[in-house]
Parts: sequence; C-alpha cells; structure tokens
Amino acid sequence: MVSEGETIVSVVIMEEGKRITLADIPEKEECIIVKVNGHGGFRHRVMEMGFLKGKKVTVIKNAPLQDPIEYQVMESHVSLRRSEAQHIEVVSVGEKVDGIIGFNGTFSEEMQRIVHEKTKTITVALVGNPNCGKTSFFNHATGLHEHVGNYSGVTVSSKIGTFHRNGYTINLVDLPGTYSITEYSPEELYVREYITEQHPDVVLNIVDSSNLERNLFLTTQLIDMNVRMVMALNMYDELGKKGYQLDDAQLEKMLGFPCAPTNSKSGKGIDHILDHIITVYEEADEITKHIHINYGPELEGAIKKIKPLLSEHSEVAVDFPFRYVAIKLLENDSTTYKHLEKHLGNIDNIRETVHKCQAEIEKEYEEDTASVITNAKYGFIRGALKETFKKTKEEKEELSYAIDVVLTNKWLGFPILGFFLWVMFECTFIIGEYPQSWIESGVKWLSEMAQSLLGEGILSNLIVDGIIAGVGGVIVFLPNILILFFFISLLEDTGYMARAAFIMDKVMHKMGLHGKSFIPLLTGFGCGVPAIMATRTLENPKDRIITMMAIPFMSCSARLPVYLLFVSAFFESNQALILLSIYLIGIAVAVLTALLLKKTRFKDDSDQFVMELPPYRIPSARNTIIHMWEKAVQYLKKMGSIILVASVIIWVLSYFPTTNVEMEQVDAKIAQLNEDNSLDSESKEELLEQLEIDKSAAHDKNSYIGQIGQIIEPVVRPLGFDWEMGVSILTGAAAKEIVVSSMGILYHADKEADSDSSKLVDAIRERSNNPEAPLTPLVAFGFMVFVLLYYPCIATITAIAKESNWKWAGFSVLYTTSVAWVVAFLIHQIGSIFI
Amino acid sequence: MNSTTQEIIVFLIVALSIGWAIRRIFFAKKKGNGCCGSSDCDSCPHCQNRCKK
Repeated sequence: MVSEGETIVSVVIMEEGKRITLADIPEKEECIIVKVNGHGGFRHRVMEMGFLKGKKVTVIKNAPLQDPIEYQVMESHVSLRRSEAQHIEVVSVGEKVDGIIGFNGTFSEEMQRIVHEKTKTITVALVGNPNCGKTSFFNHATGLHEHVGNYSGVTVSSKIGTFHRNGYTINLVDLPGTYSITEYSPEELYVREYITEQHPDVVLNIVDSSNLERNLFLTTQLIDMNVRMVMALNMYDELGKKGYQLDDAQLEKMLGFPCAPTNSKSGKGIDHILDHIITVYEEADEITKHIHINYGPELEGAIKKIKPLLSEHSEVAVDFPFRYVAIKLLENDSTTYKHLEKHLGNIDNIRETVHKCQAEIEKEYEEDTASVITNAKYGFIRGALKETFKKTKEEKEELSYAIDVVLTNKWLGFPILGFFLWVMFECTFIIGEYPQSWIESGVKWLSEMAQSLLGEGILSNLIVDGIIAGVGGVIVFLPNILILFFFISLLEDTGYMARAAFIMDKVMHKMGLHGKSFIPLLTGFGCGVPAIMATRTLENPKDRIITMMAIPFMSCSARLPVYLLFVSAFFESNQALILLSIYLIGIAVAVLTALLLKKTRFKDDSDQFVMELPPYRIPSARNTIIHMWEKAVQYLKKMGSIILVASVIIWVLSYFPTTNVEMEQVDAKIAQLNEDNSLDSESKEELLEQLEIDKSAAHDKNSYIGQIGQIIEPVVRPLGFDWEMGVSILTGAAAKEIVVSSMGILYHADKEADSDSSKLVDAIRERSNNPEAPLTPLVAFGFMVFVLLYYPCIATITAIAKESNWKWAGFSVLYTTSVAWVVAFLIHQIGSIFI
Repeated sequence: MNSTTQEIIVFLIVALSIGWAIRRIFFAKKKGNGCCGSSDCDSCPHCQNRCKK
C-alpha cells in the first residue's frame, strides 16, 4: 500500500532488464557488489566467502579456458565459476576507477549513491493460486489499477509496479496465478523460470486463508526451492466468517518465514507484509529459517542417493538447491532433465540412479513417485494445519480426517494409544508363547545331545553351560521380537505412528520440545543407534542434545528378552500390563529428562516444526514381511557373533579357577562323609547333595566373575540384587541381550530346568529361595526398571558421541546409570514397606 | 575324546573368541556416517550397513 511520502515510479510490462554481474567485469577491473542472487544455500556459501553487499571486488584473472575466474575480495583471493559469478550483481567501477575511488580508498559520493541505489532496490515476485487476491494486493501496494482477473488462458505476462518504502525501491512483479510450479501449464513454467532465472530478492506467496490446504501446496514447492519468502494470509476475514481459527504466529514458526494476515480488497495488513519483505531482504528477520519437508524414509533415501551425483557438478547448485533438483528428477520433470543435460552433457548415471530409486518407491507405494511426493507434501500441510488451524463449525471430512477425529481426539487419543500398545504387548506374549516353546524344546534337545555326545569334561561344560545356555537363553525370544516388530511395522505403515507422535506433541510442547522429537524417541523402541541418527531431523542443536539424552530411556528391542524372562517368571497373570508399565516408565523418564535439561541447561525456546500427518493407508504385506525378515536376520547374526563370543568369555570367567581353598575344604568333607559308615544311606545322600551345592556355590563365588560380582555387590545390594544380577548388568554394555545370556550361564540354567518350562525361568524362580538376596517379584520389577534405564550399549554411546561429542556421551552414561540406580532403589525400598 | 583334546579345543574356541572381541573393539573400521565402529558392516545390527552408504 502506498502511503504518504512514497512515489510510484512506473508500471511496465516486464522485460528482462540487463544487469551487470561479476562475470561481466573484465580482468584487472574493480566493481562493487550490490546484490547476491541465487537460492538460499548458494547465497550463504558465496557470502561466507566474503562476497557481501557493498564490498569491492577486483578481477585478478580468468583461467586459460575462461572458467573459473580469480577475484580479490576482502584481501583474499577466491576463485568462482563463471556460472556462479553471474549471480552476483555489481556496479562496475570501470575505467573511472581513479576518479570514483578517492585517494584514501573510500568511494566517491557519486559511486556511493549508485551503490546505495542498487542495494536499496528489492524485487518482489507475487506468487499464488489463481483468484487468491494477488492482483488486488498488487494494486493496493502500488496504487495502480491493473485489471483483476484470472490468468488462465490469457497470454502469459507479468506486470511490474515500482514504488518506494522506507528508503527502498520495491519492484513488485505480479506473476500469473498457478496451483503449483511444475511444468503442466505455460503459467507454471513461466512462474518457475522467473523464480529460478530472474532470482527475485523475495517471493511474496499470497494464499487464500479460507482454502489453506490447497493453497499451501504451492508453498511447499517454494520451500523446496529455498527462496526468501514472506506469506500473505489473504482473505483472512473470510476465515473468521467460516468459523475457522488460525494460529498464524505458530504457522510462521513452522514454515520458517514470516506470515501475516491481509485483506487485499480493503488493503488491511499490506503495510505489515511490506515491512516483513524489507526485514527479510535485510536478513534481519528472526523467523526466517530454511526448513526441509520430510518426504518419508523411502523418498528421503532416494534424495540422499541422487544428491551426491549432483554435488559432483557445482554449477548445478548455482541455480537450484541439490535437494530441489533431486525431487524434480524423481518427479520426472523434463525441464530439470534438460537443464542438467545442457550443463552436464551425459547424465546417464544420474538417470539410471533416479530410475532405480523410482522403481523402489513405486514398488513400495504401488503408485508413481510424483504422486508419492504430492501425498507427502499434503501430509506436511495437514500436519502444519492440524496444529494451527481449527474448525469450529461442522464440516464433512474425508476418510483420513474422519479417522483422525477419533484417533487424535483430545480425550480419546491417549486411551486409544494405550489400548494399541497393550494389544501389541499382549500379543507379543500370547502368540509368542507357542513358537517360543518350540525353540525351547529345540535348545533343550540340543543341550542333551551335546551332553550325551561329549560326556563329562571341560568341552561339554563350555558347549552346554556356556554356549547353549548363553545363546539359547536369548534365541528363544526371537518370535516375541518378531511379533513386536510386526506390530511396529503395522503402526508405521498405516500412518498411526505419526498420529502417536502427534498425540504426544502436546505433551512434548509442554516439556518445551516439539513433537518431532518424539519420532526419534519412538525409533528408540527398535534400536538406539538409528534413533540417535534420527535426531538429525531436528534443526535446533539444543533440541537434538535433549532428545539424544532422552533416547536411551526408550526401551530398545534388545532389552525385551530381559523383561520377557522376568515377566514370565514372576508376573504370569498381568504380563502385558507389567510390560506396558515398563515402557511407560521409560517414556516418563525420557520426558522428565527433557524437561530437566530444558529448565536447566537449555533454557531457550525450541524451534517449531511441522509434524507430517501422512494419509492413512493399508499396510503392504510385502513391506511388513521384509521388515520382520530383516530383523530376524539381524537378530540371528547377533546371536552368532557378539552373543556367542560374550557367552564364551563369560563362561571362561565363571569356570576358572576350577578349584580354591573353600572347595578343597568341601571336598575334604565329602571324602570324610564317604568314609563314614555310621550314617544310613538316605541321610548320607542328603548330606552329600548339600555338600555338592556348597561346592558349586564356593566355585561360583571364587570364580573370576564371582570376584568381580562381589566387588560390585555393595552397589547393587541396596536394590535387592545378588552379585549374579550385578555382573549380568555389567555385561550388558556390549549388547543388552547379553544380560540374559549371562544369567543363563551364572544361574546354571541347564541344571534347574523341569520338563515343562523354560530352564532359565525355573532357575530364576529358584532364586526366590536365596537367603542372602531373595529374588522376589518386587526385586524382579526393580531389575527390569534398572535394565530399562541404565547406560545404553556401546554402539549407542558411540552414536551419541559422533552426533554430539564425547562429553555428552559420558554424561549420558553417568546420568542414565544414576537414574536407574535411584529409581530401582526407590522401588525396592518403598516397595519393601508395603510388600 | 580325552581331556587333553578337549582342553585344546576349548583353548582354541576361547582364543578365537577373545581375538574376535579384541578385533571388534580395538581394530574396528571407523567410517563415520552413523557407523558404530563394527568391524563387519554386513552383520552389524546397529549400523545396518550405514557406513557403506
């Protein structure tokens, strides 16, 4: 809107004006930078090299083939490709250099005026859907009276209106209205080419607020292009009339650029938008940040594969960000292919990779890649609107919306989430019980076979007590883990996992974190390492650290065998509930950790992100089977490597030394008893049996691992744990399944079994008679909680160190272990009062 | 199988296991990009071949 003191300069049918760029300046000449064009990534890189507005640049020389060109800027020599230099607008000092630059190196007044004039000119492109009020906005802003109408079917051209505001000359370019900027119509191509070739300083995206979902689709494409943007939420009044509410402050934080309500008919809010344009141009705006739309693992994987092929050709990065080019290639955009062919010549390897990625995506989703990308964009939009947009009046909803009304309902969301998790854990036990008993029988048979083949001796002891007890103790849980992964896969594929994150989002917001942090936390249910990697999606480093510190509390699948073992042994009646409670304790501690860190170490506000809500879809059987198959292969490989080796090492530590003073004393007693003929045979047998138990206990206690256990026993005894449990906890550093393997070996699982149930479960139940540290259900629960909370495995610790630093990795180890000890201590001590 | 043969086999199994553990801990390939440092990317359940990607 033109206000007092502002002058309209002109309105012309736009033609490409001749700009002088750095590439036009001959060798040995000097120039002053007035503007750096190009997309965000390129502009930042070039500006970091010193090519800033108002800086003097000297052209040193051209390379023999005229490319690259060497420049001197800020006392340093930098070379730029010609294609890059073409994006830097300059004012040529030319031959008048002596006259313009004063003797002390400062610019003359005339030169300063020219530079000032050029740097104070902002070109703004008006982009939006047809009939969203662009031309009305244009007329209000410039004070002109262009015909307001739709561009469809009309010759494609643009209007440019120039006016002054706050010392700036603003060239407002009214582009044709388009629903997207692909290549389906001349308008779309025109708008796209204008943005990528003319490089407007700011893109003003005008959206119809009363139809945001459709209008924001174009916005997502502009986000991919990484252009400087401002959004006018036009027809804002109609929003209220329809009974809608929009939290525009929240929306702008999520989208990463300023948004403000306008009414282009009355002119309301236009001043505000123009002020935003100036602050965005000056890069003084606090909201602006570049966000990436998350296209989901398959598409993101494809983008990651394509980007390195493009990054070999830096000239491509000048006009478009690599990510944008990769997305366009996946969409089979012929303009992008032509552009690449023009610049790179042969692009067969890129084409081949893109086709391969498309085939994988299409196999997975059973629809073409462009549609998958479109769906993901709408998922992003839906997520953004879910958090910012409210309908107060009833409206007919589409199926996904209708399901969301129930599943993400304020009151029903949590109970439904709880119910799904309960069903998941209940099935893990009930269905898993059958294959589990088959594997147990197999392990038992193998153990007996080995025993009968090898007879008594050290080898038989290693195979039966070490390897079979150690590996067999863990391998029996394979079916349960596969069932759990089956359910996780279902939740992910149907789109419910995103809703679970969305439900938690409100809780996370209260903790000062965004719900997006919940996605890495959910990944942590599978494995800590990919969960730590998933924190890369969080742009704020503080949020990343907080999330990384919370992830170890999300119970990874490797800890599941420990719970299954103890729940089976002590909590037969409420198996699923106990297991669910363990997971919930983990989530609660993770959330409290985030809150604690947010209130102490990281007090600043977190960034706002969009939570994608992809449409619900029927899960594919192929995907679920692949998911389970991969997990089974990984689990079995782990059994054959780290678990096997750990079992052997633990067996060595528990087997040696084979004799000690205490054992010799018991041996002497046995010999004495055998020679004693005064006792009847029954009493003698009973005494001998007791002495054998004493001998075995003396052996265990004095073995290397027993000695280690006794050192740590004072630490674990207040928690109600015996030394075997303490040692098992220690061995879990390598992998959490080893906790169960260690128990299998240390509790002599092979000797305690009866014919009907698991050997290890029986051995653990037997420990409830241990006079020194009885293993009661309370102790068992405390032990499960300790295993849930204590330090993560080495792989996760390393991942934390790599993604942050060793200081945070060390903190994580100390913090998680301290929390585990304190919580287990409270459970044992407080529980002992009541039970 | 006499006890000496058994002891030799046990010794070999234990030596191989300790050797494998030492190799995994101290001589792991550290390729970054999410690799936990396992010496064998293919069978590493954590990295899922990330270091190859």
